[in-house]
Amino acid sequence: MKKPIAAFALALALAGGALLAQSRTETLNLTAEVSSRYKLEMSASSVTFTRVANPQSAPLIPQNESPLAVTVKATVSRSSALPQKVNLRIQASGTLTDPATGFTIPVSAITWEATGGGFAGSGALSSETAALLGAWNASGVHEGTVTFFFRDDPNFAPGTYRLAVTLSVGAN
Amino acid sequence: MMKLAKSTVFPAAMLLFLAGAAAPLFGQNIELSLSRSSLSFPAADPDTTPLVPANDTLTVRVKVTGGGPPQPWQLTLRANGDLYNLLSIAVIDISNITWTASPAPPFRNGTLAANVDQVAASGSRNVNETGVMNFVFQNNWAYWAGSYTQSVTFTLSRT
Repeated sequence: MKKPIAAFALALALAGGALLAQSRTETLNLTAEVSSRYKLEMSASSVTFTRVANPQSAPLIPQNESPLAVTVKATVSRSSALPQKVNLRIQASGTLTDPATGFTIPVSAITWEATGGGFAGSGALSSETAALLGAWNASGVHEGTVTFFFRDDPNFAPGTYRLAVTLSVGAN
Repeated sequence: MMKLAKSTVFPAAMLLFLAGAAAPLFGQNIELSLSRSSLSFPAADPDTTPLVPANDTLTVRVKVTGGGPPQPWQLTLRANGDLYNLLSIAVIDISNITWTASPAPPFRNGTLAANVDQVAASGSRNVNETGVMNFVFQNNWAYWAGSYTQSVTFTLSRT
């Protein structure tokens, strides 16, 4: 009776020794910096309109090209102290002007329609104020399309009119 | 009955005591050291830098020595939560941080997980090895801007 008990105690002791777990720990602190940034991408840098021969009314002429693909990429802060909202704005630099004759067409003759989440549905160009083309309350990649239209008028003199338009993205 | 207790229980207790002291007698030793206590991932454009490398590599030294029968060991990494930004109360899933490690074996690549041990190295016998770990952060436009932090516990254990 003594020997089996002693043998069992020995086995238990050895097992206990083998099961004595040993470990060491160290701590690593990680920091990831994410800064506010914005990016605007467009599928084309110009659009054109072609007048219908001898317009008797004021037809709305769409741009000759397919709709512009517009992508707004933004990382903003949602800090309770300074929450940021992403805005896409559009503003004309002046009036449509034919440099050969000096004739002009009011910039309001150009309108736009937009599709995509967060994009404003439609609007008219202005050189005085930057119109809101889109707005978002979160960081991310926001995609949409914009199509421009030209409201023709029989009173507009023939010519080639040009205008620069600026799209800008930022936060307020 | 009393006779049995004196002749068997006492020796058994002695054996248990000796077994408890067996580790130092075998000269078992475990050492773990990191070359740095912190790493940072700088801000970067998600388009040009979709994977942001940490500002430095991490050198990890693991040492498991001692006599007696070979015993398995492992090095684990446990993130103590997701990346957290206190000001905006925003989080980024810690699984967006991965690492590559060499030499392999015993080191291996992996992905951090919140409150879950991830094995970064393992072996079945004594080891005295220095590994190099390179951490990268998966960048994304959708993150909220800010500074995110979290700690990671490295544990070298022998069972």
